[in-house]
Amino acid sequence: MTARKIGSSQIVTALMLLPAAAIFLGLFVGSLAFFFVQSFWKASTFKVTPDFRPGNYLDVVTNYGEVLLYTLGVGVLVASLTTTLAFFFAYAVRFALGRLGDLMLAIALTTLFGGYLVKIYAWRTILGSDGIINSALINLGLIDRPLSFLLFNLGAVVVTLTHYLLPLAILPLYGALRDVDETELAAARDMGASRSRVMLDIVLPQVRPALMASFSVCFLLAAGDYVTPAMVGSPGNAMFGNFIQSQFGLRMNTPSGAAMSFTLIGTSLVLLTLIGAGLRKGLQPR
Amino acid sequence: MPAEVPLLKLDGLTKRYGDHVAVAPTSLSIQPRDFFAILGPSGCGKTTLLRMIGGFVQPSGGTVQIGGADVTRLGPERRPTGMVFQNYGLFQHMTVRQNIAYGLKLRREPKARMDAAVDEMMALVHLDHLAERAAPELSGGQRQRVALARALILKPKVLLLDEPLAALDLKLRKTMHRELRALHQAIGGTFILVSHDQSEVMTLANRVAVMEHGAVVQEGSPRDIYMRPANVFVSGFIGEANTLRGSRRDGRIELAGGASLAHAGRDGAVSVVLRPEQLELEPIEPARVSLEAEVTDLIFLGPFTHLHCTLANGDALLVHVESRHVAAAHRPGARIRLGWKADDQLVLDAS
Ligand SMILES: Nc1ncnc2c1ncn2[C@@H]1O[C@H](COP(=O)(O)OP(=O)(O)O)[C@@H](O)[C@H]1O
Ligand SMILES: [Mg+2]
Repeated sequence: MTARKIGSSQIVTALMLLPAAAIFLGLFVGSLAFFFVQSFWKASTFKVTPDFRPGNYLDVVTNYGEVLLYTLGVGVLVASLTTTLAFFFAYAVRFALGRLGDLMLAIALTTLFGGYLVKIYAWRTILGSDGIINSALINLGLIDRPLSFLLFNLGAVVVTLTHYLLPLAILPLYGALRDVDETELAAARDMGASRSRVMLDIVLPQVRPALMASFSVCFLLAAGDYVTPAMVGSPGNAMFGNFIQSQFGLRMNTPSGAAMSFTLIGTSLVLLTLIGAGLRKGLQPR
Repeated sequence: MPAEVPLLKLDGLTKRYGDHVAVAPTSLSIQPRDFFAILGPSGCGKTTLLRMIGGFVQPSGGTVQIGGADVTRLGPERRPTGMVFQNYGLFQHMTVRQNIAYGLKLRREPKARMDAAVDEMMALVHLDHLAERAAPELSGGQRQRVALARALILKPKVLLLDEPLAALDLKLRKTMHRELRALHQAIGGTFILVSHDQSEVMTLANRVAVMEHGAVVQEGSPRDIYMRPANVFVSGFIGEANTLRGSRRDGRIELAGGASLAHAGRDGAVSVVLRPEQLELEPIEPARVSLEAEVTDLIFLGPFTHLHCTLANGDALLVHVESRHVAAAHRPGARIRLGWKADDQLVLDAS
């Protein structure tokens, strides 16, 4: 074939893609590349000098290795919990609840409108020492002093993050479940599968990409969060994001902050890849 | 010899959705090796009846017995039935082989035995060359075969088929008719087929139940139902039929289209049902009933010719005759005489 003439429609397409490409390359790739280069620079007493040394990364591992593991663990915990709850919610809406399900879905998605900070303050109000739970228990005469273990710990962080992430996890799962053909579920039952086998053999493998999407979104947002742990978490158990924030802010050590960020991104991607491969293997038809 | 125990027995089986009666109390007995068809127009409750047999729809009343055991309260996974769904329901994330093997895997069949059974089943439905093909990549006819194989490999006591061929084109449907017949004979199974296509039912079934508005209105062999339809609905639904309106007084029926014949019975409105092939041109024998008609159209189909006629009162009449009996004079606009043997006619009292 000879060289094709570039048609006017192709030019129009190119023009339409231009803004998106500019935003993507300029703001996203550009800034990431800049910080990636900086992560190898040297910082000493509020001065940053261009350099190429892996020292920043070694420092991250020695100084923050434990925090990193703790943070990834919180991410996995929150993502597993949220994805599981979201799956059962979406499954009930799709297959069991009929009209009522549509209403519940609408309500769940409406909570997306409530801001992130609003939810954090809501949980502080609910779990706090003069919060709803404690006042109720005191008024009922079940306790005479507020329970202090409700707030400012890992549990409060997990509850708050799960509440915030749940609608985000429901969306892809509901979309995928809507595409699952009910006839296939009936056919599996007909061939002798129990309800739980149908779930394991038919439903989960078919929505695996959505499971992974929900899990990844929840994991990345949870593992990268620094507001929730600061507001409802225990001061002794800060997450990786809190340390990144202080490197960029208080300490003005951008190279170190950048190295920490890329360490978090890198380990997160590796972890998600492993979990994705595990899920694929676990849900393969045998 | 004791009467054969029915393999499947429905007793007063009913399904209501709110006020709507999808299936009126239905009782049927199906014998081993029957190819039983449930025939009726769309929306008459065929699928609902079949799904109650398979355990997918909980009946509002009545019982289902298979081999003498009451299975009414059992789910589909605990019934010895296998279902082929109208839209197949193949597992989209599996290959042909995985689809067919799924039921045996659930039964924890040893691998060697399972592979052999799957191979044999794939050969039976001509799918051996597609074993590793993914389900979404199959054509309609191939999907149909996978659905059949997947159900048959579990050797169900009763195979339930819900309009299995409705989505296929005519040519493929005819091929599948032959295959289904052969399959039924080869495995000696008991099949229940739901269909709205009377020619399919005639081709396949040895017994037919005709449904209308949720109720079985007639049950019998295809021949019985064709020759002795219980009412005008059945005669119109199975094959082509002319229904002539008339009334009876003192043992004589006067047809609105202009014939008179002797027929005993109570006075009142009647319908006389005649198959198009029971009518003949220019009857010479005096024993025949006859009437005048005008030819409106004439369709030559090789061995047979179809004549569309109108009677004196404007009613239409369809006549199938062998082409060699058609003369040049039988052209549109011609007035002709048509006759039939009194033995052939079916007289139904209007209820
Ligand atoms: N789940 C249901 N809820 C309410 N009505 C139903 C339901 N399933 C079937 N029906 C009604 O029952 C009648 C029979 O349906 P169906 O058995 O599917 O008919 P067919 O298979 O003969 O076309 C129809 O009027 C249909 O609308
Ligand atoms: Mg149907």
